[in-house]
Amino acid sequence: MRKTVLLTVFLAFLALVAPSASQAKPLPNHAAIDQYTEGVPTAKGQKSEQGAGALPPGTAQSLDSLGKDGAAAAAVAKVTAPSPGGGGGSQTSGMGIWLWLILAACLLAALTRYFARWRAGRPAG
Amino acid sequence: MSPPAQASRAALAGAACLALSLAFCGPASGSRGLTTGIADGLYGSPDAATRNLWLGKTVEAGARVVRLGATWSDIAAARPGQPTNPADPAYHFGELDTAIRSASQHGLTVLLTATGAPAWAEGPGRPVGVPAGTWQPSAADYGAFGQALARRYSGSFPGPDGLGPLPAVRNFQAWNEPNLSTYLNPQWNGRAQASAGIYRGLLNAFYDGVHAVQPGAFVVTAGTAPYGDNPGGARTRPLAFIRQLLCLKGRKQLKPMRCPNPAKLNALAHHPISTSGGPLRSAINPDDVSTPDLGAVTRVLRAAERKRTIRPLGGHRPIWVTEFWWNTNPPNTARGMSPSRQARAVEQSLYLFWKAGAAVAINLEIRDAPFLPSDPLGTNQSGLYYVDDTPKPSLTAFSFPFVTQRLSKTRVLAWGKAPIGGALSIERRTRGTWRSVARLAPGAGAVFSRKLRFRGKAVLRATVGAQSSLPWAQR
Repeated sequence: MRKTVLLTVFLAFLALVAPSASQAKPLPNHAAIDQYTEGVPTAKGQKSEQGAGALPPGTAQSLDSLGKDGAAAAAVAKVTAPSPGGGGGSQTSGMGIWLWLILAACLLAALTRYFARWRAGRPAG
Repeated sequence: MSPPAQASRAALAGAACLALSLAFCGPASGSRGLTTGIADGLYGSPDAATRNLWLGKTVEAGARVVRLGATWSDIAAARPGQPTNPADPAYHFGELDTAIRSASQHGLTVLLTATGAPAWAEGPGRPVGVPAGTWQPSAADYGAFGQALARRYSGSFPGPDGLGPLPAVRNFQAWNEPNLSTYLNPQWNGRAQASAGIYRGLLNAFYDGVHAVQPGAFVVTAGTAPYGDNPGGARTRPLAFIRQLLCLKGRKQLKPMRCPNPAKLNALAHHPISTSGGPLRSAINPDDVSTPDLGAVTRVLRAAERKRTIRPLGGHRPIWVTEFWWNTNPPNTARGMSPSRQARAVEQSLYLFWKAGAAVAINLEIRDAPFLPSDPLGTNQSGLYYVDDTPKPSLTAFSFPFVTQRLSKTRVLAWGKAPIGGALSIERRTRGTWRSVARLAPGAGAVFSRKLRFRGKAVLRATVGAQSSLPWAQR
């Protein structure tokens, strides 16, 4: 049980960190080429499709090769995919640095509790 | 299942598939043609050897059309005293003359795209940030420039190089991508569409100017770019733009709208480029037109012809795809696809364009432009050759496209374009060996199609003479 809790916390942390690392390099803004990118409707209005990595290229290709249904699935995946975030950390919307502080605090609390129980010789859970 | 039984069943299935595939039906070849072309700045190179090398490779790739730019602001940086006279000393056609002469010497048909207003022909008060040459260009001046072009390339105008009359050009394109703020402004006045009306004025003046000198010339509209924005944005969605241009309103039920100055055109052009996915990925917005959506443009054009909202009246005008492209990685790490996927996308695009009614399809670039890591989106790597002159798989795909499409559980349509005339064989790969499943005899450059009967997956190709298309996997 202890291991499961720890593993879950750790994986959740990794899952949140990994996509952000891949978003850290925004595509440069190029006015001319921007005019060939598709606008994707979002709740906050139209958003440029450029650089959105909703599907890995291989998956998108596989879906394309499945014909109209596959292409439609790819389109749905793209439309419903989370935004890749356009800029660096400063442009990240939502909780920003507070999210990282809370996550780090959770992880620290979990680790502290685990080691405290382990030292006391009492099985956790 | 034991191995011998498995092998026996596989053999039976294979034999059944082969028997089915050999039973073909349908017409011997597609009746409608598709002329392919290429646009590339290399054709205008001041170096004759470079120009001739790439024009030669263009011919080898089966292209019959080259799209050349006649940049108005370069040719007429100063206002000519006699703007319809191409011999006016203010005009400087130099490099265009040599490019057209070279293309003509290679037997290539030229499509001349006239774009980019000189400062003297722009409207007053161009806002800061609006690209030069795009702000409310004067229709009258553009018409005079069109007339000068048509006169210079009428086939009888003496070349200043002393090599005799300049070659004739019969295909003229009025502007480029007028639904983008990169090329024409303003796109919107507030939330009211503005660029289509401005463009209609330019098109009609250009049409009249060209036809005043060459009544038989072919005036092609500017190819519209594939994607637009919501009202008030930097771009106009192509279908909304085209409807407005052709004096139609409504989206599902197209109706004529009051239009005192109907658009004059001999062909309608669009650029069904896809940057959000492969060739089968439709645009999200119904007024955007990427690769598989070209039929929507044809539908609007046919409605305009039926409802008599365009001029000249009568007949069906062709659709021209005057630009499409698929970038490759390498070298374009920012938005390229693998070279093999580009090849597949090129031939699939050609099929989709043909299916949608296109008569001409022009690929952007014969050779990649240099990739600039500091500006990865600033140039295209959509050539049939890499920048080091080595060919990509897309060269074969472009010169000998061959694709299949499943029509039902048992029927598959094979489509292609023959690079040369003669006995053509459609072959299926069975246990590592290519076996002919259909034979046709299309002419050189002709489109062919054949319905085949088989179930399940297959890998097919077409061969003619010593040439083979790329294998196409039917899934």
